[in-house]
Amino acid sequence: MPRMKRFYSVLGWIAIIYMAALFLYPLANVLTTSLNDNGSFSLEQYAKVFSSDVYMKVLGRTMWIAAVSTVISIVLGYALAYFIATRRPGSQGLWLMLIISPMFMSLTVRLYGWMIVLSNEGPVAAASKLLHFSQEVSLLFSNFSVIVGIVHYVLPFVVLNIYTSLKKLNPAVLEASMMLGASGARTFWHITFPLSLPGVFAGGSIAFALAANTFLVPVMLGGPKTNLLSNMAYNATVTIGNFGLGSALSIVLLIIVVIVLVLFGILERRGHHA
Amino acid sequence: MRAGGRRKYTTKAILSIILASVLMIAGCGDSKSSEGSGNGSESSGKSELVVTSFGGKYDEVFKKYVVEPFEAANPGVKVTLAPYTGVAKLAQGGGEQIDVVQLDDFDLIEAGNKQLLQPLKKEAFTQWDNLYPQAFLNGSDNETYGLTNVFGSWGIAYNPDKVDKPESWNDLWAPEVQGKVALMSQWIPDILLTAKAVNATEDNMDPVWEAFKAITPSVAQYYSSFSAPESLFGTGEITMAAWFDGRAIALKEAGQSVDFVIPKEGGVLIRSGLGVLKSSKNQELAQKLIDFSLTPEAQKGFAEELFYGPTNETVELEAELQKKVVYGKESLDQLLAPDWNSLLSKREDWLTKWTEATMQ
Repeated sequence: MPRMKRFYSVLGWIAIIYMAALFLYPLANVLTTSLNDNGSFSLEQYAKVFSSDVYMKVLGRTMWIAAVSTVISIVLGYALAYFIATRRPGSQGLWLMLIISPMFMSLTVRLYGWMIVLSNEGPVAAASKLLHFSQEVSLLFSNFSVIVGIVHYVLPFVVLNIYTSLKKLNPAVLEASMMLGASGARTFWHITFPLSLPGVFAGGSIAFALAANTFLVPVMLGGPKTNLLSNMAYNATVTIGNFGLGSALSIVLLIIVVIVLVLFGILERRGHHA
Repeated sequence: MRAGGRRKYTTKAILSIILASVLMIAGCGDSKSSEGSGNGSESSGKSELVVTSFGGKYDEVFKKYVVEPFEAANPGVKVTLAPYTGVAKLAQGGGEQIDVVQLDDFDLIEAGNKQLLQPLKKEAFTQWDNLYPQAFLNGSDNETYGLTNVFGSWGIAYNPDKVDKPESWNDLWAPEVQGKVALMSQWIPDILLTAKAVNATEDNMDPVWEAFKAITPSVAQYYSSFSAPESLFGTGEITMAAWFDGRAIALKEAGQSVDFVIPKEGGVLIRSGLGVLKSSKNQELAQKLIDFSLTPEAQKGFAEELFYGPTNETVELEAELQKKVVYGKESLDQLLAPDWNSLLSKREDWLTKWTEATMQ
């Protein structure tokens, strides 16, 4: 046993070195770039980010779009996960496969599909024209299309997390609740749902982090009013060539996402004790 | 129970880390060995030339008219096309494996000014004297860092079924096209034409940013890739766009109802060219390849298949094609060729201002 333990701790150190070299080092690099002004320490880039209406507006929009997408993903994801978890055990794998299968394809291709679906000549617009709602329906390049894209992107992660925690539920607890006379709805809200909360929080955290950092979705489905902070960071770094500003924007986004995730974690622990 | 579960999880995590590191090490090994063989084969008269390109149809045409004739004329040399690599990446050492870069004019000039490119000299090029003066991309030190192989003009593309033929750049602001306009994101030619349309000077660009503020609610998309308007016109999402002739005419020839016009304020000359990286170990071959891209045969191919204008004065095009592409000294001189060496210093400020004006 001690030998086994040593084996694992060696592997653990390798993992830490791996993380440090490929994750922490680049991250530290971004941080120093954001604080560097021609070789000396400076908070200028951060001052620029926080004093400008534009960046604050985009930051607010990023958080808003990420939050809305997260909520929608959790609701949809919960319904899907619950549906799958209550299928016959033999067919659950197939359902999960269906949920994950879009991830085998490049996100660019999938978003291109959404561009067609949501465009002026797509099925949604055609149906609306048929029902004489409106002649010109374009859902593209709006907050709506961006949220649709983000939900599409993060949904599998949410489903998997919630599904896992639903599967961990002890069926005996549910049986006991039913036998003691609770209705199906009561059992769900008082037993199933609280016990599946860890999965909801985990899925929600991943969804929020991915949504707040998404870059491709606004580029493809968004218009000028839907640029998010990561797009601004990209533009600042790659098109304009202002590495300092791009890094500062990235760090601000990172810190805010971390704060939100920590809050989520606190909520989750509260949920455990309740 | 719990501990068991956790251990299982750790084992899995460790296994995946091992797998990832093995893959990574394998990846490193691979790139090293290919580098090694590249160096080794050079001494035996064989070598590989890595050229970045833009992808899509451009690659096909470039292969057909430049790479294949070049390889046929230089037995033992293999040309490999690599993905587009911008100046930001090159400046960070991303050009180590690359010999020749294909970039927009301003990027080549900037890369030259950053000492990333080798100055090109007349003696190495058979086509040098046949090129239009606009084809030379000179840095602030007056060295030539890139040679243009294709010209284009930046103007307005529109759907003739939906809107009247635009005359002025200001027509993009017209109420008839509200919500149906696309402009390019962070694109100096759009900024220059807007400056002309609102009579702004480079000393006072405020009217330009006001104009962008005004048009933004009407813009369907500020697109980031040259190909984006193709699908936007295709699905009827837009009826007018700032775009360039080559792509617009190719789309028209493919049967889409779209046409291209240069507004009365003028068009901006769009240039794409080639440069040799300073770090390349195949300087001579690299310059030879560029020379091949400048031959009348290659340039005719680009005009016929992609509707890009030739940069070589001796190219003869059919009368029909002459009207579609930038052709001849006269039509070339009507286009505004931006003075990038003075603009590049303003670029960061302008693009930041542009971003701020269009974020609402």
